[in-house]
Amino acid sequence: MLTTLDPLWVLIALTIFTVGMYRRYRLWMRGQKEERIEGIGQRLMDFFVYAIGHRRILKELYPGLMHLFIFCACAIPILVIAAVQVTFSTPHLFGNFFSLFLDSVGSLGLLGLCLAAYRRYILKPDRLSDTRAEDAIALVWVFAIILLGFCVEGLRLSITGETGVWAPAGYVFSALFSGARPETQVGIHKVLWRIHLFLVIGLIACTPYTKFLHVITSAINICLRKYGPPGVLRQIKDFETAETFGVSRLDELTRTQLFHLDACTRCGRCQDNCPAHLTEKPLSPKKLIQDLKAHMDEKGRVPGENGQQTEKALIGDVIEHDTIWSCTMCLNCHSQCPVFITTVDKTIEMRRNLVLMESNFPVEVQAVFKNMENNSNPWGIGRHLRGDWAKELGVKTATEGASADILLYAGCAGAFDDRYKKVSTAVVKILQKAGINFTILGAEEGCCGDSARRIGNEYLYDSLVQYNLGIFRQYGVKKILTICPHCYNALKNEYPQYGTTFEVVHHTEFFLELIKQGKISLNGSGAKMNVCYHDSCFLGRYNELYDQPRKLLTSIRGVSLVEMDRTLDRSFCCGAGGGRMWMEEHLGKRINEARTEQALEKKPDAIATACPYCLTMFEDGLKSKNVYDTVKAMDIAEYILNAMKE
Amino acid sequence: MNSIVCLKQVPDTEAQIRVKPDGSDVLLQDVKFIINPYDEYGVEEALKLKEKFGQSTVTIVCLGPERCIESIRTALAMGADKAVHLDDPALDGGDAFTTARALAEQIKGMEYDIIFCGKQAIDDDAAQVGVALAEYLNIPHANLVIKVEVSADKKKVTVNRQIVGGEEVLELPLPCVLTAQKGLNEPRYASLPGIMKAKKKEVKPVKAADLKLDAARIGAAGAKSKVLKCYSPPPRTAAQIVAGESPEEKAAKLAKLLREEAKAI
Repeated sequence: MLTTLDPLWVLIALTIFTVGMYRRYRLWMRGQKEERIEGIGQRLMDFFVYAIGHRRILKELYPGLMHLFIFCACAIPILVIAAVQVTFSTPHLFGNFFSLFLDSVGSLGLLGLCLAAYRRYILKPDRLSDTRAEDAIALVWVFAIILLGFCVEGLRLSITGETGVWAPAGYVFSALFSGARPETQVGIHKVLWRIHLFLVIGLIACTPYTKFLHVITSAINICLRKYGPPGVLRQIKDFETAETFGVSRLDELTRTQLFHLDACTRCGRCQDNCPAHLTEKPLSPKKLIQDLKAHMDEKGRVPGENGQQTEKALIGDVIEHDTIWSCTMCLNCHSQCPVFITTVDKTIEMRRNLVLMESNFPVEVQAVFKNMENNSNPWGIGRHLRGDWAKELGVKTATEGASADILLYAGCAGAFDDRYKKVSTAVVKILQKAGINFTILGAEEGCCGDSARRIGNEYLYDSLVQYNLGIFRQYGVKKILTICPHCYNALKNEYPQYGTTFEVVHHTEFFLELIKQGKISLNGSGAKMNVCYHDSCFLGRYNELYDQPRKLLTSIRGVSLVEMDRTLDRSFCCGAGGGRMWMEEHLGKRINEARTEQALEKKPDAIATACPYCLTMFEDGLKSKNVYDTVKAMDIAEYILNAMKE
Repeated sequence: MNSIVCLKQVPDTEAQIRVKPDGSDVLLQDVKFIINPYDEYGVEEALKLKEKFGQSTVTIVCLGPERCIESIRTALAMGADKAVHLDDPALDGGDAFTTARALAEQIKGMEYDIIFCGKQAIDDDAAQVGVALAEYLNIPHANLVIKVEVSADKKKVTVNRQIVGGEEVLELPLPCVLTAQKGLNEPRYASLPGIMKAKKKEVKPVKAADLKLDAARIGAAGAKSKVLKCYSPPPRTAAQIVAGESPEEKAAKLAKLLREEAKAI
């Protein structure tokens, strides 16, 4: 049925495809060079698990299945056609079963497309609010290809008189044409088959120019993902020699970062989980990526006749300042993206540019920077007072020459925040009861630098790290126990950029281990209590400590857990991450109040957290909801200590 | 529009200040030093004038020991062009007057249209140097300035200064000395390129001998005031709430306490 001209059409299509792909390639290559990508085996594995296997896509059932159906209906027939080209015959191995299988795949594909259309045009979820014409065209296009495929099959059945048992979908379609004379059927068959063929060739040709591009880019993007702890920020090493810091132009992003922009299919799972977007801030991770993509497209276009291309500024024109400052770096968008697109790596570079180059940041942040510079804590309390919280507790400090296996790192909140001092005190008491040999650094302790780093002040972060490393080295620190998840993440995952090798544990991990070893035993009053645990982003998504805090709480007699709807890796940020703790929240609804409402929906007797920021945010939220006196928020350490007392 | 900013390095507001056992001075070991915050307003205002008029030089003049270089670099990082550092043990132990005299001697030989000082330093809170400097230089001054408007011809300046219950607007001919009060501006945060550039900017060291002042007129010898004794303020005791059934009873108790315990009446 192929004509002599057909190879020409295919060639033209492939040329258009290649030119399009090359244009995209040139756009990506405008980015900065990166280190070579290692671990090909693992990356291949990721391709099968996350691209072919749909592991992340299926995290949401409806859109997941819908996509899987469409994916199979496109990919499997293409594979079959490819196989046919190689073997020069249809596979006989499974014969009829194979035919049945292909029929099912195609039918499910049509179902998937209907589900997609229903969702996009009838259900209209908020995250698909940016529907474009190309979305409809793509649906209709693929639908037409599959439908024509079935028509062609139906006609073949009708013409040859084959039984429809092994091709039920085709059989249904054969009924459409059964009235026509055989010669007419042959004619229709020929015409429909050719339309089918041209739609497929056309689809190939337009792939680089339409949303079909994601078939290629998203799959590759999955294989380009970063391994290791998520959310670790790029280290700036060349303070002395670099002329610019951060990113203020698109081509200052890396090639992979630019590639991310083309891997986004606008599915919107990110914004459905973004605390900033859900509280009416200007940030949506999807919009951020799409705005950057539009900017990339614009910059890629050849200047018009007059040669006057209006040069938009990346920061300010393309991405607004408020968008950049709205991010809490909670990493929810990273966790939800089915194809591993990241946004925090781009936001932080823009923040770095604003902070380091322009000194342009929310006004209230300047005092925080100065406080960290002069007193190594964001509140600016005299650094000589840093050890005072433990004065009455009989804890030895490293300064006094005490040596111990474990260093308890109080963190700024544990040392200075009146509320959180109660938590650091509880931690000390638990350790003492368990007979653990530990020291603290007292007044010699410094701020870990997490907030400085995430606001974009890498220079300040670097100086704080250098100080801490000096102290750790001086006392030969090998194992650090942290209370604050931000200290935990910084020390554990980010300090290794400076070559550190010490072990870092969080109090929830450590206490669970103490219980297992029988060093502490929990009794509790046994009073029935429904506790709602809020996952700290820096414990959960950043470090996958989901089970430990929960196991600790349920070890207490009488405590049962109630989970919020947004929990575990979908947990909703308290609003204080990414340095937002130190910024005013002028826009939209308050994130901490939204989160408090989510907890109160579950009617808990109490709330548990494991992070000083979360605790502050919840206590403020409970106060604003006028339930502060009835629903208590406490750190897990306080629950544990209370349960040990009785 | 050339500006000079006099800068003093002071202990951080949160630093722990201890007194030497003999009460002769305060201990400044392990103390974090910063630019005197009021001087920082002066730096910022000078930078703003530079931005407004262009073609200007902002020079920092600082008297103090070697450690002051860190604060000088901070001011240079904010955008000041160069600095003069009066660093000599012979200058130590002076007071506001020897400081003003030394600064005046240095500044005499420099080109300037306006001089900024902080209204006072937050360590000794003397609030003398700016005014004394103007006297030694024989130029006008205005203190506690919260707004500065230099005329387009750079011949005079209109300033708002804080007075009790309001503001006073003055017009001064240039050159003059202005002492900065909180509210004048919001000092900028140095950019990283600014910090890096500051490392290469000129800081001219000046010794006592360069000032051509008699040894008797500088340092401790030239001081008009002398510290007799340093001591920490007595620890504040907790407040007492006077309890009682009626206001009359409370008043009677209060009077008794004021007379017998506080010995105030």
